[in-house]
This record gives sequence, C-alpha cells and structure tokens, in this order.
Amino acid sequence: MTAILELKDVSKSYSGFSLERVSFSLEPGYIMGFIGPNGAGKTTTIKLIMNLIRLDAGEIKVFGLDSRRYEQEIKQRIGFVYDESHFYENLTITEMSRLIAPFYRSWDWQIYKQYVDRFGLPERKKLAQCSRGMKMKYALAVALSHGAELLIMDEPTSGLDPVVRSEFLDILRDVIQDERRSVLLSSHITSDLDQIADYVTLINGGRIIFSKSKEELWEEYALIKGEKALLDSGLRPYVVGLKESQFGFEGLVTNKAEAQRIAGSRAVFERPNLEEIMLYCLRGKANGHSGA
Amino acid sequence: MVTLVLKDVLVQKKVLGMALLYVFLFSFAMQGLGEYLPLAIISAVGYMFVMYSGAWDEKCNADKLWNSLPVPKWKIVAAKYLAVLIYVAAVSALVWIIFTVLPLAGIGDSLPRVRLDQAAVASGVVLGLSSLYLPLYFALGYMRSRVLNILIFSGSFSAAAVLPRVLDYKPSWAAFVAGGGPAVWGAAAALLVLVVGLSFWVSLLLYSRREF
Repeated sequence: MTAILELKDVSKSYSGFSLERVSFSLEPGYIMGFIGPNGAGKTTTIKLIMNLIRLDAGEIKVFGLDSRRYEQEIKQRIGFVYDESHFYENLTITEMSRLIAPFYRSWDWQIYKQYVDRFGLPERKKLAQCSRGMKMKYALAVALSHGAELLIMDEPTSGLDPVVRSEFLDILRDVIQDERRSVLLSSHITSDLDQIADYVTLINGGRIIFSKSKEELWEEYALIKGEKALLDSGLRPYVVGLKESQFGFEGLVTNKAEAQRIAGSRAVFERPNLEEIMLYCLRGKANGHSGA
Repeated sequence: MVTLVLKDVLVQKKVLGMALLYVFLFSFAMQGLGEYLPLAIISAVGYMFVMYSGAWDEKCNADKLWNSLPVPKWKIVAAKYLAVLIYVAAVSALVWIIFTVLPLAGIGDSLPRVRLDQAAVASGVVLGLSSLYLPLYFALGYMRSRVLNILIFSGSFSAAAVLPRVLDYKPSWAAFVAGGGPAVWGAAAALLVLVVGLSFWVSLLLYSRREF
C-alpha cells in the first residue's frame, strides 16, 4: 500500500537548530501522533510537509506525489489546523469561509454547515470575538469541509484550557472515526494521543527517536521498578531511562521480554503511557543514564 | 484570484471610514494644489489602501494561511497588484461624492471638479508606487518593509509638491493632458505596463523564496 505521507532523509538547517535526516511514513486510515518537547522540530517538519519552508535535503511525498512538484494537487486533499489562528480577525466566520471555500474543488457547504452546527460556532461573530477554542473548532470545520484525506494538525490543543481541550479532543476523536482519513497530529501533550493515535513518532533535537505503532511500543517498552542491585544483574543495557533513589530504581526498559526474563519476579513491570515513554527516552539520553 | 482581491477589499471595510475622513481633511488641507487636488488625494488615499492591505495580512499572519491553501503563489502576488485598481476606483468614487456634496452643503466652494482622466492618471501613480513597494513587501513582509515604504510614500509626494516649484513649471490640468499627446501618453502607459510587469516578476521571485 502506498504511504499517504512519506518523509525520507528530510533535513533543514537554521542557525542554532537543524532537522537531521528525518524519515517516517504514515499509511492511509491511521492516526499518527507526532510528539516531542517544545523546540524538538515538530513545527518545522510540518512546515516542510506544507511547503511553507524549503527543504535543504531529502524527499517528501504526500499521496505518493512529490510535495513540491504537485503542491496544489496535494493541498486540495489536505486539511490543516495550526497552533494559532491565521484567519482575519475582523471578518465573521461566514465571511472567512466564503473566502476559503472557492479554493477547494470539493468544498461542500452542507458538510461545512453540519460541522458549524455541531461545534456550535457563531457564524455571524467576528473571529476576534471568538475564544481560542472556538477558533480551533472553526479551523477543524474548515479542514473537514472539503473531503480532506489527510489532516495535518500542529499542536491544535496547546493553549486550550483543560475543559475546552477535552471537548476539542472528543470532537476530534469523533470526526476521525472515519477510517478513510489519515491524521498527523503533533503535540507535546502526549495524553491527548494516548487514546487516539495508532502510530507514534517521537522527535527530539531535530532527530527522530522512534516511529512505531502503539502496539509495537507496548510490546517493546515497559516501566520497571525494583531494587538497585537488580540493575547490575544484566538489566542495565535494556534501560532507556532511569530514576534512582536510595531504596531502588524505576525506569523504562526496551526489549520488554528480555528484561522480564532477566528480572523475573524481582521487579514490577507496568505498561507505560506515551508521556512516560517520551520522558524516559528523552531524560535517559539527556542525563546519560541510558543503556539502550 | 477574484477571491483574493475581494479579500483585500473585505478586510479593509473599516479603513473606508478612515479614508472618508482623510479625503475630507485633505480636501481642505491641500487646497493649494488647485485642480491637481483630486489627483493628489486619489493617489495618496489609494496608496494608503495598498499599505493597509499588507498590514492586515501581516497582523493575521495570513501568509501562512494562503500558502497552506491550494493557492498558487502567482495568484497571491497578482491579486495585490489587481487590488490597486479597485482601491483607486473606490477612492475616486469617494472623492467625486465628497467634492460634489460639500459645495452643495455650502462648504468647499472652491473644490475642483473630479475628472475621469485624473482618476486614470492616479491609477498610474498608485500602480507605479506600488510597483516600487510590493517587491519589498513580498520579500520582507509589512513590518520589515515599513520604513522603506514610508520613504517611498513621503518621498514621492514631497517630490511631486516640490518639483513644480523648483522647475517653475505648473501647467493647467488641461494643458498637462493636452501637452502629452497620444504618443506620449501611449509611451507612458507602455512604460507603466513594463514597470508593473517587471515589479510583478520580481515580487513573485522574492515571494517564492520566502519562508513562513
């Protein structure tokens, strides 16, 4: 099956930051969580996919087409939601939609209206008077009203209060039930992705740490707690990230099966969530505790 | 592209009220220009709209939006040039209304008549100024090109005010229009088309290199 989105050795340099040989792919019908701390390179990667900045090296294919050569064709089939509103604040929601709609061949006013009603968007209100949550829901309505096959979302929930964030995620979960649609959703709030992501790509310092299905992550990684002596019984090479205390340690191990075999009943194993995987992977690397 | 032009007009609805005020104020403040007054006002206020359209786009970070939509860059650039003609037409109509209404109300009896050929020349002036400014705008954005824009704007209008005095040459509008003759006006129009075309090409080149 042709990947709906494919990045191969994508590089981009700025002074003080560079994206280095980033590669990952997304199959049709899946949701990929693109996670990493602030400044890791998520937005730069998304800007490269959207052709908002130029590639230094590498290749990006969307729907199997070169992202630069077939830019217009590709953008007809993409919906996007960014971390900030880029709409004209002095226009009403209806006025703004009337400006956007003519550019999409498949824009469907009926579907748009359905989403506007469903999200409770005040059509006659100026965007300047809408809350951040409203603007994000509006951006989502626009992204969904032209039959987009790929949704690209860059930190859509950042800056939303917990109630609105939860509401936004409920809506998102609901609208992406349709398995024809693929989603690349970047966030540093990993709990947003625990429920909905099929695949997870972790980026840090401009480099991809891993890009795997959630099942692979659960199979590969485990949280471990035990006595410190256990670390020196052959476990240390499997420890990705570690917190040691006077009484014992807790950490994240890779190659879960082998770690379980070594530790036996002397350690407690738990399934980590995405935040724990991210934190231990990054902390381990940063503090030099890592053995993986 | 019509939508992009419409966008520039729509986002500046509020500026229209300000334009009305400017036309009103200039009508009295610049009366020394005599029959050139409509030309000066249409050019100045028309160019103001060009500046404000860039300001709105930058304020809302709209370049990121338009470049994420399936809109070719050449259309984004061309729309800014096309919108100039709409602004001039709108301001010409506004000046005509004000210059007609004020004398009827017993104010501004000395206001000159607004002529179609003045609106045409004003279109040329605003297109010419925009041809200097828009490549800078597309390369740098509104904020970073603002100082250069002010220099273009104030420099051009100061030159237009000072030069006739320095050269001791201030023909009547009729003499100015007749003095050119069809060949001169044709050549001026051809030069304008060339300047606008070259400016558009440079703008597109610079905009294509910009990152958002």
